[in-house]
Amino acid sequence: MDHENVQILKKAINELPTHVAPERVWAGIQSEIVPEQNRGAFEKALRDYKEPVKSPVSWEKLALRTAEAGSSRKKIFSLSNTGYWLSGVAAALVIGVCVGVYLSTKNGTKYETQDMAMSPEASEEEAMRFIERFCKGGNVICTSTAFLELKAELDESTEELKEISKQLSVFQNDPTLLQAKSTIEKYRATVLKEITLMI
Amino acid sequence: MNREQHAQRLLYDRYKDAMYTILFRMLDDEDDAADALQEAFVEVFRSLEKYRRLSSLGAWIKVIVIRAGLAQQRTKKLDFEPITDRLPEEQSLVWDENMTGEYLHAAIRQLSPGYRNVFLLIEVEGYSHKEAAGLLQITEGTSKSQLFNAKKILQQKLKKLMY
Repeated sequence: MDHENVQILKKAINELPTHVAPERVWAGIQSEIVPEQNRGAFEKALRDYKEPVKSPVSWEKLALRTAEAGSSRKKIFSLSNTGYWLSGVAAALVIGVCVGVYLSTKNGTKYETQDMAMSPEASEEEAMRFIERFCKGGNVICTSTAFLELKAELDESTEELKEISKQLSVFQNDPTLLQAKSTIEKYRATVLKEITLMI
Repeated sequence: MNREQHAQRLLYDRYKDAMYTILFRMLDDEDDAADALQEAFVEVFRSLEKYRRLSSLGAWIKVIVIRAGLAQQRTKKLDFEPITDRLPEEQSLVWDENMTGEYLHAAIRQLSPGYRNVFLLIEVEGYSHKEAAGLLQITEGTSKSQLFNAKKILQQKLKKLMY
């Protein structure tokens, strides 16, 4: 009797209607969960991030790298013409030297700076020679961090130019190499201008 | 939809209707049941790493769903029958053999949430008094007395519905 009674209840329970979850529930779940997961993924990526190690770049790849990176390279000034900036470098040197001569004469002290004056038409080689002569005197500016960084940039670009020139002799007037050469030359002019402004 | 979201959708699809049915029976309201289902599955996906396989995945999800339903009842401030630890009188409960699922469903809907919870958890979902008492945060004795009272009231409701 008791067993039959229990079965009546069980049968009715099994017949209870079931219901279908509305579709909007999933959208609600996603709206809460997805931003959390995205944030989690970002935080994980940040935790896993490792400082990239600078790898040595082979000279063979240099020309292409320079061409690609030309626009993103450290810009001190924007340049449109290498000659224009070289003239600027020379002019800055002349003004600087003249001021130096005037001040030294006024103080009654003579310095050998007159010999270091450059004409406004000074070539890049002349600018380089001027810098070398200036630094041979043991000027403190030449040992400053800013100067050394710029000098290192200049030396590096000199090497890059040499390599590109070598490749140009093999690949003749390859447009990519020519473009890379132009980019480096512009950059060198900028660095030179920075150096001359320092000294 | 990425792989993780795809897996979540599969899990949700597998359990959504069964869990929604439990919530609908508890809350007797589509919107409340949907809200509780959403809260429950958000909790499931947030805590999935904590699932320790001590029970089946479905059983683990069901506990989270029931807790979400009870939380939803609390926010609605539904009227509960006062709970006493008075043990039920010895009385046999005889079910009418003409009782169908539809009648029972209609009668359950007329129960107060407190009685409804105890009846659903123990008789429909198959929890023991100890488990149900844990979920409802009452004593085992209270669970027993509440179930007896719930059944008595159900029988009265059924009599009115059927005859």
